[in-house]
Amino acid sequence: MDQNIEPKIEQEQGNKKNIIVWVIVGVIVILILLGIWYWLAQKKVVTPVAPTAVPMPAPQAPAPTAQPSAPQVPAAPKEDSVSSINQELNSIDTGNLDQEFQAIDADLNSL
Amino acid sequence: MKKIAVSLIVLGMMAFGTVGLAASKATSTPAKPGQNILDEITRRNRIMNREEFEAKRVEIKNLMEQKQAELRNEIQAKRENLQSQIEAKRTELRNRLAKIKDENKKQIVERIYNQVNELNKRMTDHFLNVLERLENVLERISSRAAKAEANGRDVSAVKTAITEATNAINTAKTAVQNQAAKVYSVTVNTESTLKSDTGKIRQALHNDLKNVFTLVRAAQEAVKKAATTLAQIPAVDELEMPATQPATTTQPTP
Repeated sequence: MDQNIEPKIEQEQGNKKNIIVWVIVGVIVILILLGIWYWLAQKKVVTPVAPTAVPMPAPQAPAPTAQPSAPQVPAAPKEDSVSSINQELNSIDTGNLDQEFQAIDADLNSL
Repeated sequence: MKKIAVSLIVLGMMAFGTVGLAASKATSTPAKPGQNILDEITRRNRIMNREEFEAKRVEIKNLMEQKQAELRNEIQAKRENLQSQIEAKRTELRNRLAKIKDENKKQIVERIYNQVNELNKRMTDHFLNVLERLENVLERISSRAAKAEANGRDVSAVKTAITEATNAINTAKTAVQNQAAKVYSVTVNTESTLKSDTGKIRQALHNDLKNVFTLVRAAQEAVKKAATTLAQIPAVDELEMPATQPATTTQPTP
């Protein structure tokens, strides 16, 4: 009888060890998969910043040195050229503050 | 068996750690770009090739647009919070105006109250637009200066002008942000003082907007100065970033 019980106990212990090993292997696989997933997720965040074409400025009027008679400029000035920069700067209007108050002043004077 | 299990655990942890470290490195690089492309090149202490330069420029532009959108959203959120305050002050004004007999005058005062607060919103929006455009122009100046520097030109004066312009823009932006958070209300005393009472908020808004306007103009002048300094570099428009690394010769515009 005892001789039959001993192999059974050994077999059960062997099974337990096998289960433990499989659990550990499973945990490691999950950890690796999590790591890969995290890495891919981070990579996706970086992707939009990846090199893309620089947006070209909208076709602008020719630079002062360009031929006045030509209906179309063969090559538009680069957006960071001095002429393009000056053109943009000159087109920025900070506004006229006193003019903006005209309606209020008109109402105020009618009081 | 135990040894195998322990080895596997250690191996797994090492793999996870390596992947995590690689991921953090991948994200940390673009997280801290320079203030502008010129700063970025100086920070890296080496000349970029054309592709690298354009990529970095796009990255900086994106970051700039993101910050601009954040500021706009912040101001918008403040305005939404102020809306209830404006409504409450309007009700308060109506109550105070109850002692005024002239209905026409009552309407005018209320209209001025609305106009003043509306003008504040419109002008702060306008100033913000101007500052964003100036910021975009400054980015272009910085880009051109970086190309000049890559070709061995002295851009120290341009760098100083860019820094000053950046500071001026930031100061003006803060002023716009503070101005956008203001609400103007009329304190009505008597019918005889109605004009001067109402005139006070008109004057208060005018003074405040004038101060912000002065800062915006200062920012514009600073950017103009940077552009003028850049233009003093001989043939600056013909300079480009080298197509490949290392760059040793000046390359003409393709």
